[in-house]
Amino acid sequence: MQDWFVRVRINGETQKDRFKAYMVPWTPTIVILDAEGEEHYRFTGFLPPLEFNAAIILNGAKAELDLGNYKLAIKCCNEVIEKYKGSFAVPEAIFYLCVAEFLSTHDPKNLRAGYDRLAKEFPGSEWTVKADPYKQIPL
Amino acid sequence: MASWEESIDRGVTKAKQEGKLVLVDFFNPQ
Repeated sequence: MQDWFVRVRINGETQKDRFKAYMVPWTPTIVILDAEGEEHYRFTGFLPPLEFNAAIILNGAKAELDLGNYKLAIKCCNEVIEKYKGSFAVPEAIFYLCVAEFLSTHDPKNLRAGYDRLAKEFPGSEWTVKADPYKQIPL
Repeated sequence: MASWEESIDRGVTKAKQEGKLVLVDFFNPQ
């Protein structure tokens, strides 16, 4: 993970101007920027180490998806799903995995496969609801 | 341990040079 990110720490006591500039009202807040300094994702609140690592990788994957780096997004979503089984991030990782696979291949069956997997493994998840339209896609 | 930058601008410059993303941790030491 440290090879993927440049890591920056901003101290709320000594760098209040940065908190204001990024509109951060509460800590801890993690913000993911690209190499142009554009913000892609953020999350707020304490997470235990396993959940934190899963959230970092997932949000990094989403940023790579935004940037059109589909293969890397797919690799990182799979890492969340396989290495962080049981974490809160897994249903969202399955959702973005199927989106990245679709954008990479233009094959809508990837979206349907994502819905089927979510419906089977996480029937109560908001990500299953968000993937619901994909159940109309024929296999 | 990986080192942490203390400046977002410096982190972005480094990310551009190294082709990376930037992870910014806004924290309160209290």
